[in-house]
Amino acid sequence: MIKTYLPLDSPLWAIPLTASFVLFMISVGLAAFNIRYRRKSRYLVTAVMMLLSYMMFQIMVLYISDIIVTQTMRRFTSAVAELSWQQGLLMFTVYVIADLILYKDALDFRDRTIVPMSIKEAVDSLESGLCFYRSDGMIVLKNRAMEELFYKATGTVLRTGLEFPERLKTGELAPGCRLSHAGDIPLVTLADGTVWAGRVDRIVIGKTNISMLIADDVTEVYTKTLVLERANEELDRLHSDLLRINSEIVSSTIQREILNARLRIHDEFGSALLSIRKYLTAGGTEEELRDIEKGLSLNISFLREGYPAPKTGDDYGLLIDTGRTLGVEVSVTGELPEEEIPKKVISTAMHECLTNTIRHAGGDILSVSVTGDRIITAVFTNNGSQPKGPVSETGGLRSLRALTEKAGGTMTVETEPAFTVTITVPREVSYVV
Amino acid sequence: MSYRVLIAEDQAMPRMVFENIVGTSENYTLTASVGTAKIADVWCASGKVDLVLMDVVMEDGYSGLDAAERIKRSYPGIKVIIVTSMPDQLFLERARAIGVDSFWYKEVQERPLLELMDRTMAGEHIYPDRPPEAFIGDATNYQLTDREIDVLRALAEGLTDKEIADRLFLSVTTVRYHVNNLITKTGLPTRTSLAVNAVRSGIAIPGV
Repeated sequence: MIKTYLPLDSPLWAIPLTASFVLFMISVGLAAFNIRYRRKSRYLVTAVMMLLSYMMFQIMVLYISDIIVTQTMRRFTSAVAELSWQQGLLMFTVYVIADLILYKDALDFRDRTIVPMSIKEAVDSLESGLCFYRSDGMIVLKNRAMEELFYKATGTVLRTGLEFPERLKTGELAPGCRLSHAGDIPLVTLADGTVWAGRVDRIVIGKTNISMLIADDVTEVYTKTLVLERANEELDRLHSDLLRINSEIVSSTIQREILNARLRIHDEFGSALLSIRKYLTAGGTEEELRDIEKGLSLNISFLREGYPAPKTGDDYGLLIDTGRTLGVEVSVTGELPEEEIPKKVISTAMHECLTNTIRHAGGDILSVSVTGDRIITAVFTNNGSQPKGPVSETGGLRSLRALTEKAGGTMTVETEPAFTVTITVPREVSYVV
Repeated sequence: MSYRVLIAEDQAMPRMVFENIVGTSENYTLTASVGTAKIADVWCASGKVDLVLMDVVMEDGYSGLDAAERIKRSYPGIKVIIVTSMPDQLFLERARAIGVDSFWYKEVQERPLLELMDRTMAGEHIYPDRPPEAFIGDATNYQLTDREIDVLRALAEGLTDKEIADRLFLSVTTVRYHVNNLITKTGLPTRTSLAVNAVRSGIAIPGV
């Protein structure tokens, strides 16, 4: 049977040529994709594709060869066979050199390019612990420092990314390890004395949420902070010592002032005695005698111990007494707080309201009602005239509000039906006003 | 017309002297004599006070200058005379800033207190040019610069160099420079002795 062949110059040759070229390119693409994503089947796929392409190529060559022989009586491959041995050697040499160049380039590429293994090697060389994991806890990447840290801290191997943050919350650690916090940051002190600070950051890679657990060795900072804290405590102690010494010095200075005054009076006393002597020996007028007597009695009263000092003691008592002297009775129901800070707030409020009663309202009773245990509420009101308009908070009232709020309390001022100031203040305040 | 006087002085001796002075003058009557500056403004609220004689350093820790500030703010018509024995320059400066009418040093009486009271009531403001001379170590307050006195006051409060630098807007190095100068000028051996002697001499009283 005589085969019928497509003439060599027929344009229909474009169809099988294009088809085989497209199939070949698709095969190359598939092989590249599998290699790029490091699929396990990448070698098999590549081999199958190459085999199929080679077979296709062979079939095409044989087919075309057949046509050439049929139509020209000349073999397709005779051109290669007709090469001289020098030409053949040259072709072989070029082929070997091209292969060597490509091989070298492949090696260089491997050394210069980051592959997953190089990332692992890099993170392993870090001193900080790193662990990347998905939201279900599956670990994507962890480094050696993190593995060691987790093992030392818990006595177990790190298997899921969620485990470490969980243990940092519960404090479930190996014996000899301790969990503490610096603000929000968890600190793990290992049995070997090193201190690690942990934190979790979230990052998004592609469409996947990845959590990044980072643990840093903060032993040095931690130790220095402790030393600094101790030094600050010592400094505070010295500071309060100095303040105490200063107040003692102020007091001793005042005592010295008194002593100086006494010495002056003592001198004057001496001169008064001399005057008496002079008067007794030489005589004098009635008026001179009265002067001597006046001077002497004044000096004696100065020198006398136990001269009654005006009351300076308790703040409440002082205000109540002063109010009484000025015609305003301070009527207290309930118990006035004696704790330092609430006392300061309530006595300042009493001071302010007493001044207002005397100055503006013209009343003669200032009522103070104190209630509450943990939170003290003090209501101040007077029987004087109501303010004519709204009360603007200036001067005393403004500083009273600032003081109250600083102590963690509140202040309200009402003008209807009577001018009333209400103060609330916690009994225990942990900071100094 | 006789002016009504309030005396705020915690020490018996000077208080009696003031009471005596007020008592012997026809121009003045004593409204009250109180041992703390704390309640001076309550007395002023009563409308029975025209003049206050106010000490500065009180044993209960309440500053007479703070009380004077309250009084001048709420009752500008009431005259206030500061009477003190402390040569701290800052007392003078603060008194001026507050609007205190006159200032009198107890132990360096350039003029009698009564004359000062008369002139103050007549509308004059009488201030000494400078505080009396006082010794700290080998130096007197006249030999120290204003800045050195500021640093001395901060030292007396127990502040660290860093805290002093922050308060006075200086560098820590400058603060150390001033401290060294203070040590050289006074011949005192340490910062602590500077702090103690600052208060003892009255040249720099903290917290007033």
